[in-house]
Amino acid sequence: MDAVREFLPFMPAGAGAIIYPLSILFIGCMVYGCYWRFQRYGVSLRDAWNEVRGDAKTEGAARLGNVIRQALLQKKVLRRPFAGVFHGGIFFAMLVLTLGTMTVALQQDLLGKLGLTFLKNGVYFAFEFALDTAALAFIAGCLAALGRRMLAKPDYLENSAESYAVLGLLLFIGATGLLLEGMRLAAHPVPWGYWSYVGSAVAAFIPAAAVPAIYPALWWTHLFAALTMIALVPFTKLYHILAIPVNLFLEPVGVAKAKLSMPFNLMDMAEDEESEEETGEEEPEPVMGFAKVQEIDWKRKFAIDACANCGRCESVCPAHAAGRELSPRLLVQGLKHSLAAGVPAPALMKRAEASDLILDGEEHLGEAEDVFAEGVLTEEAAWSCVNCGACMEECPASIHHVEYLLDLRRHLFSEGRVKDKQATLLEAVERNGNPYGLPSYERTEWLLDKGIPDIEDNPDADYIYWIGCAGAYGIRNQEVTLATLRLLKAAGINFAILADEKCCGEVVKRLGEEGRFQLLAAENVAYLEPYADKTFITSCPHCYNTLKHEYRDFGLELNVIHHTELLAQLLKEGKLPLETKDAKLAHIAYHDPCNLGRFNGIYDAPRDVIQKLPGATLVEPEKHGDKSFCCGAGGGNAWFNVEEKEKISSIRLKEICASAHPDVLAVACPYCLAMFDDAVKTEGMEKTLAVKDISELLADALPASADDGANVEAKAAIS
Amino acid sequence: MHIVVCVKHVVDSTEIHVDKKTNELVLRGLSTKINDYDKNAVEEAVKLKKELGATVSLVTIGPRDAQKTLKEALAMGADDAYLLQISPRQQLDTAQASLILSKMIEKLEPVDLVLCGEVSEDGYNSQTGARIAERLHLPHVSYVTKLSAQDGGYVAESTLEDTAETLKGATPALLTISSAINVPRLPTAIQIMKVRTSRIKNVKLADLGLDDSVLETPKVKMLGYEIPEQERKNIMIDGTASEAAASLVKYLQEEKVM
Repeated sequence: MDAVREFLPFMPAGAGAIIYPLSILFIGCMVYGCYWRFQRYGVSLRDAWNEVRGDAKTEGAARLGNVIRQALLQKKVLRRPFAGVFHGGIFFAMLVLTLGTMTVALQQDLLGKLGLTFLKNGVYFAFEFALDTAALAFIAGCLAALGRRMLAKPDYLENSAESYAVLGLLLFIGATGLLLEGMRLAAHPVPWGYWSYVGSAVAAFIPAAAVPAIYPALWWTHLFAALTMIALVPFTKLYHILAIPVNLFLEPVGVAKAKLSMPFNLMDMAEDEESEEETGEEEPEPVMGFAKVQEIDWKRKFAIDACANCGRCESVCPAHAAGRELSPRLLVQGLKHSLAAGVPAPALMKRAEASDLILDGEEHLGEAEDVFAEGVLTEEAAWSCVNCGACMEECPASIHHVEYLLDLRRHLFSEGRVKDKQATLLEAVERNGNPYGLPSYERTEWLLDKGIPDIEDNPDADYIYWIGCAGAYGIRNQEVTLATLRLLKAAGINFAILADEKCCGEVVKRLGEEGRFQLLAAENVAYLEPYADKTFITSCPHCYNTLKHEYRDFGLELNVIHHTELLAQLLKEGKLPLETKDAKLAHIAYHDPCNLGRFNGIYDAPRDVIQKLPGATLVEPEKHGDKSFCCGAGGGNAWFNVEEKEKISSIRLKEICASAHPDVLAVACPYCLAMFDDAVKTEGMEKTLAVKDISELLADALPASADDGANVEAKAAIS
Repeated sequence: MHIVVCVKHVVDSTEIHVDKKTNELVLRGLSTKINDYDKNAVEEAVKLKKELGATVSLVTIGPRDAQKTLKEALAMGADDAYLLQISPRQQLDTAQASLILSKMIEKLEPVDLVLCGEVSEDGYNSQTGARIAERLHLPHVSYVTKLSAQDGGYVAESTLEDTAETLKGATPALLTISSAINVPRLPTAIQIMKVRTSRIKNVKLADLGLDDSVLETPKVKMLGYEIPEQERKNIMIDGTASEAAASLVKYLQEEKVM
């Protein structure tokens, strides 16, 4: 006789059949709940469906790939060693158990009736083994999750009654399932019982005689608990099970991480303006950002609603770590609450106690004038974001925190609610073409005086070295510019600079003054267009982003490389002679700039250069690569102050020193250099730690002869 | 209440520099903008507008490009703007400018308050406001660092180098506004763009009862520009703190600054 599963022992006949109508009832509740929740997105089902279908036609496969990677394979979730593993355990186990239950149903109620039995012998044993393992992982996962909430209590985790209730329910489902299997095996032992190794272990504690009396009650409890869980999905944080995969599918693919949204195009508007003057009809002023969450696109509302409040974003947020008034988690949760009810979310920085269950209450839409008045976040919080993207890198739901903050900054700008230093900064960029407010004619004068060729003097240059505002005006960063120029010359690169270079506008864009950014960008694009066939080298990853990603919106596609990429290439090709004699031994830690690493995926080139430095040993800080921690300057934060308890740069510097013990801190971004240069002084580390750009380290390793020889070569290339 | 603010379209003073080859002041081809100090006056007027429901009118003399300045001030919240257009090459001294501006203001009467920036960042004369007041026979307070007003009167604090006076007066009056009084709001580029050029009304000299000769009769003659010589002695003082202090005192005494 074949070894098969005993189906519903101790249960009256027909118990199996009742599962179907019950399931339909509970799943119906879930579907209704989803529809009810969908209403808050302010879009009709038909419109949403049409939009999604359109997206699916153009890039459905790629988006599905994203869903598989992020949701099914838990790529983002598994970035966390502990939380990732136990969530993975619960998730994969739940998947296996659900599929297992459905397999049993398929065997029992369909194939069995047709006389087909595939769940037998070897297949059945493997099935039992897999399900028992899953059950074990499931229970272990739930216990670990509960343990984390009750014992470890990490700061970023909001411990609401709801989260305990949900975890308790999951644990209950898992435990009753195992108990049922144990009872079955205790009462009706089978020779292959060891395949159900967990169930068998449980069976050892169960008196066989008691089983027939208890089993039915437990079976019903288990069934109702499982069905209740399904029905509760749209009403609790379990909603993320559905919402996250859907949200991942809604996210467009192929958008560069560094690319920010462009809410309108000023050039189109200028045309409208002309026609307006003719027709006398006035176009309304474009909406800048959003004042209330109800104003945003339904997909962005959906994204907020997919937040499971896991706190990963908060745990990696430099602004939050510095004690600023920002938590990306509370921002999203606040918006989510505002979306759900229009009622004020708990004030930021206080532990929000409201859960999904509570906040799905009465609607009080439109009472406060904007999210700031609602108490979702403070203006200070909106300015606190350093645009480092750590939150987005971490978010398993793929929520774009920075975009929401950017829109809120845009809103503040349109209301004139800006800091004095921000206004000064914008005026400086508008007038002088740089955020320092220094005269535009001083930008490249000092380089031209040194004989660095302008593109007009060397029109055949292969490369254009884009100096950037920091490289042109920042006293410390001028040294980096000179070092890079020395290297370019030593390698015999045929390059030129742009005498009339201007600020790329990155800081203007990230501050939320889209109009001024676009005016500046349009001007720059017109200036750069004739040189679009050349390769642009930038030392500043912020310029890199803007030139490479943002100017595309204005029809300019540039080939942009960061200086570390070029230097790595030149070293590989042996075009840079290095002095290995008398090389000083140094442990060099590399700080990944957010805009180079996380945003543009350039992790290897800077490390390749460091590893080739004579005498250098590359040491990695604990937070490196895509987990790097911002220097604190991004998102315009280098140019104004917000309230904080500790400087972000100091936090980062101390972390680097504690985890990597370097002699030299290598950077690849002028902002990082300025920040750490300052932090080293604040922390009194000037004597023990040198902060250097990679190009400076490399230029220091050039033999003296490299300059002379190559100068001739470079001059030859120029003439 | 009707407030008139005089604004000036100027070259960006931060960009003025000396041509290394010709040793001449580079004034052409520079970006132009609203005089920063006038923004403080506009801001103060807009604040009063919000508070008292005043109407704010702008007057300026300048090239066609001065529309940019007026648009920015309109975006800040002013209601009307009047431009007397002159050629971009035309230079006016404070006597000429104040004559034309006073006529423009007369045309807008009844006027309760006339506000001017304390100075313009191109000429740095600080005369136009006072001259307009004289021509219009208005009482005037300069360097106003605090202002409150109501129908019929105002209270202004005027801060000079080491004194601050609080003055109470009746309208109409002319006040020149110090840059210390406020931080002007910053309209977004879109808000400035969206101001329709048609809101700017063009004024002709003839409308003011003046003829072109006013443009050709300056009271001040510009003889030329010269860069003042600046010499640094570049003295480095060595030694211990007390020795260094002693020699620093000696040097300062030699320079007769101590």
